[in-house]
Amino acid sequence: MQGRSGKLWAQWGLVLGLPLLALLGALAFTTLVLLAVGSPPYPPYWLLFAGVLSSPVRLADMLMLAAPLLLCSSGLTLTFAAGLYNLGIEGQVIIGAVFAMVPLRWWPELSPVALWLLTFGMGALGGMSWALLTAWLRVYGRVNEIFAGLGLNFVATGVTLYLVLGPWKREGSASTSGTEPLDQAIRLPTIEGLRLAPLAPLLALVLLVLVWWLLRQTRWGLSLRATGLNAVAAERFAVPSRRRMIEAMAGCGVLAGLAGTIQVLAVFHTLTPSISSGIGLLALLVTLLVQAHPLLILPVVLFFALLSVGSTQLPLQLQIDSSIGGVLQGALVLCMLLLRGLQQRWSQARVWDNE
Amino acid sequence: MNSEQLVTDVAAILAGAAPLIIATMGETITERAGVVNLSLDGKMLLGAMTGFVAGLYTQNVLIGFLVAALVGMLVALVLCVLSLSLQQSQLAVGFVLALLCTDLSSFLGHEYVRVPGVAVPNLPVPLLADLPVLGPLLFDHSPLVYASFVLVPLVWWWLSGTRSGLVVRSLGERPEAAHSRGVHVVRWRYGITLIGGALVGLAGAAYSLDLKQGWSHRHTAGLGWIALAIVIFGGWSPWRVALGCYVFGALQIAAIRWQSALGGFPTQVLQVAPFALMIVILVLVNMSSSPAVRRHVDRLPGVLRRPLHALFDRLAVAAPAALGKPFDP
Amino acid sequence: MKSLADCRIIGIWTLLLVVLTACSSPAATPPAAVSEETPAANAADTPETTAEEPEVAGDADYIFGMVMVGPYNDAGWSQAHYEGALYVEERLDHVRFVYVDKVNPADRPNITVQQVIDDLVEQGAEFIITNSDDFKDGTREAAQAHPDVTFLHISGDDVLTGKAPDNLGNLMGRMIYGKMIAGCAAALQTETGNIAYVGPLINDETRRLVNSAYLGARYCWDNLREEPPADDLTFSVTWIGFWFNIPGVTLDPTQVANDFINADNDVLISGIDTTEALVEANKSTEAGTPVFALPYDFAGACAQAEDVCLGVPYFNWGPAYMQEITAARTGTWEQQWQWLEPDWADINNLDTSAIGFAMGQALTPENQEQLQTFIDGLADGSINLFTGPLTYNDGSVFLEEGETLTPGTPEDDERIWYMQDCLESIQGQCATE
Repeated sequence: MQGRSGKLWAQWGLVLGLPLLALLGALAFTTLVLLAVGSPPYPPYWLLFAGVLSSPVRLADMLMLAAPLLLCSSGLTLTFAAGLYNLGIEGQVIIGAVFAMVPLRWWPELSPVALWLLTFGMGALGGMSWALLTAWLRVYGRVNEIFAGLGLNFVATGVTLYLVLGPWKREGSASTSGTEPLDQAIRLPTIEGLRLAPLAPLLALVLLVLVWWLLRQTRWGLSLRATGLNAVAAERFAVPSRRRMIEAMAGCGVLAGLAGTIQVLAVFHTLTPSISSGIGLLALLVTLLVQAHPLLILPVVLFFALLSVGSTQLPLQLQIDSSIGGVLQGALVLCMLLLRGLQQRWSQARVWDNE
Repeated sequence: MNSEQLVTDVAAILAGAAPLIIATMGETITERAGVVNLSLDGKMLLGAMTGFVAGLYTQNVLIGFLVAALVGMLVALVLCVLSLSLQQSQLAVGFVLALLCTDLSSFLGHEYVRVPGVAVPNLPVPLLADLPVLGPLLFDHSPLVYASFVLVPLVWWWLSGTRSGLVVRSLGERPEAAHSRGVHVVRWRYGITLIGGALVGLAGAAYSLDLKQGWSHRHTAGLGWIALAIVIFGGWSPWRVALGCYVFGALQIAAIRWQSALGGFPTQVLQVAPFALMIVILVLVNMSSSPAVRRHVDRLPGVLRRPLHALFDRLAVAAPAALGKPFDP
Repeated sequence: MKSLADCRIIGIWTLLLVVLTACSSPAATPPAAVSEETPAANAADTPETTAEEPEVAGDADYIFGMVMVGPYNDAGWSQAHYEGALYVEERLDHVRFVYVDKVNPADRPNITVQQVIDDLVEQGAEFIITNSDDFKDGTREAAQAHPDVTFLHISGDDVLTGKAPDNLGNLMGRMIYGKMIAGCAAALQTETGNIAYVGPLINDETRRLVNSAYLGARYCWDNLREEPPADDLTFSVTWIGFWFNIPGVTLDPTQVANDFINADNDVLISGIDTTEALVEANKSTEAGTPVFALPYDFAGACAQAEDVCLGVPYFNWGPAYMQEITAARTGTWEQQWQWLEPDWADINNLDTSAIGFAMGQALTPENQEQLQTFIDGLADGSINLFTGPLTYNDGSVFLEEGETLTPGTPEDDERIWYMQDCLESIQGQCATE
């Protein structure tokens, strides 16, 4: 009994203690960086952590950033569980956004609800098809999903470049800054005075729960995780691991495509070559930090969104470049990896000692 | 297009690809040793920024390059410690470093945006530079371009013709076997990754001190990912990787040149053509090694079969077998 | 087992939330704590402000904000605006400015101009300048959302097209003249007869400016070069696709400039926000092929390579900003679409002229003299380059034989503002159909 509860405590300590230690480490690093450029560290931290909470508008902006980030992170949880590094998620977001533009441009006169449903459907389809391309290359082409995804990210940017500078350009101009903005009437409805379209975070939240349920409560999720741990062994236990990989990629693509749809329908209201805004890459950071555990995603996503929105206050109020927010995010994940490595080595050493 | 213009254009492609060649050679040897270093993009930016700033303060480009190489090594060292010693995923660490270094270069380099600095001088090779055609093509460049010319055969020779090169390849293909022969896998991988990191750092400085002189936010952003893709595109062979760099450079110039010729077609799109091509090639590679396709091809008449076989054999490349896998002796 | 693990995670989750809220709960108190540093400062005018500006003037009472598309130190477009704002801050008492720069998808993904404007308003800004064509839609929407704040969108035409809400004005300098002068300088100094223009994206403004540069070059080549070094003048343009380089998205301006040089162009005119053309010209000159360049936007842009700089047509926003801000502050601001003339008495008078041209060291003394006669001709009206016949690239007529346009009259201004294509004999693609 004693041993068991002690073990539980140790695990608790790890799950809570490591992130806190990592946060301290990251703060130490960014403090050094801030001091290096001669900035006192306290005011920037204050803005980064609490800047968002100072007004409802910013809180709303944070939620609108968190929504697509949550969708992508949920999607990546699926692929991570299947043992796949879906670096191609950026491209999946982009193609999702491109597909979402199709009904918006072709049938804007549809009733809004029908149009939105169609738009989300198309976005999901776009993201999924791009993800399936990667999955196909991985499973049947033996092309590593990282390499395929990387290449497809560039190709996806090429597609938007072609559309934005070509067939979908604004009248009288040719600029990479984007297509004609969407009509107010067909944008996702927002709360008065805020840029918050409540449907977006709501959708993201529902899908996060769905992903958690699928991964943790269903046989499908179990076999998916088995695939991720060891695809060959899983195959021996009659788990169709290839199929699971494809399904995980498809699921991730759907979620990424929905994120792209939100970027178009509720955030930017236009298609630009940078429509994904690095959301996919940021989501990869989140997923690395939480090691793909679906329930830890939400707080981390909120924290990352908090930093991202808060950091825009830095140049405005302190004349500090806002990239320090990104430095903190990156340093946090790096410290987490470092601590995990140390902890694993330490526990390994202890096992050997005991033997 | 007259021949003189063609020579100028080819010379421009050769010169423009120099930093990419340096970076891709760094990544090629790293990956051949079985280590994926995804941090190229950030490392190059950090190298570009620190190299530029060091050059600015010392008024000495050599010191700039030295600093950039050291910074590249430092970033590579972080990857080594976390992934080779502490067994964290190379992909994860490299990816985080890519994003972290990008932001770090923006933040620390903020003061130096569009400040005039030092630059590498052009250095025509005496006598040789006056040769017709070959002179402007090969011998009228900055020292970095010559370095890129030398680097490719050097890396090829080292990997394929020397004992240490053999060890490196065995690290990437069968590290266990290397280990059992008494090679200290982790230590070797450290060394190669650090050299690769230094080359990538140098490539960054090659931009800020020569090709795209000066520093600005995200000065070379994206080029690191492109370099990474080219290494894969080139199938981890120095010659093919170099070819990939030149194809990429040529397409960039084509995108500029064809803007008016292609009417309304947005030539910016041409920049991504290498990646579409890369994927097509990867698919071809897959097809060529699939038994079903082989069987179909075998049924074709000899006239068609032989060139197809030749093409498939030529295309068939595989990533180093142990690429990205942890090694635990 | 499985659900037990999940319960644990849920527990942790809740705990984390508690920690998070605990961390954030001081949000209510610290504003006071932070503002202790400068107690009197913002309590008076911006009660909602949470964190503090480090160097707030003791009794600042009018704040204007600025949204810039590039970095404030880009030695180009954005820096010119930044200097304009400093000009106002120095000359008007109790006025200070707040800004956000690098508002573009490459530098600040996920940030929209409306968001930035909200932040500026929250900082107490009562007058907001947005400085990019790219901000047109965003500025309009923000102006609708903040009817009490006065907006000035630079380079836009919302007032002309009638889309602007009442609190939004447009302002631009007549850079057409600056570009004519730049084109003239290029034509005076070229030895190969080939001039190239590094263009940003294609729209009304950029078409207008490339045409102006061409007209200036054509005039000076035909009239001021006594012994033209080449049979004819060629004038080419390549568009990178945005105001500055976004790797992988736009064409790389460094390469565009380099390619122009390889194609025997020996003067580069920059139409983009940053100085790549100048840097490349310098590189080429040092390697033995002399090439000159004319950067753009910012009076100090030549500093990056004085030896190859023929001069820079620049914006001088300070005086116009001062006028607008004073008007808004005193309640006499009126919505206008303004296209400001240079002060022809002295285009480089920083207190009166909206645009200017700073001659560069590389322009020979004789050519400086010639250029001055050209400028004088523009000033006294004896040179009007909008004189027919002028044809577009696609063969359609812009101005009939004998037809002239008088800048400054509303109808003619509109025709110049909305030129739809490049003029004939400019090599490049400018129409967007």
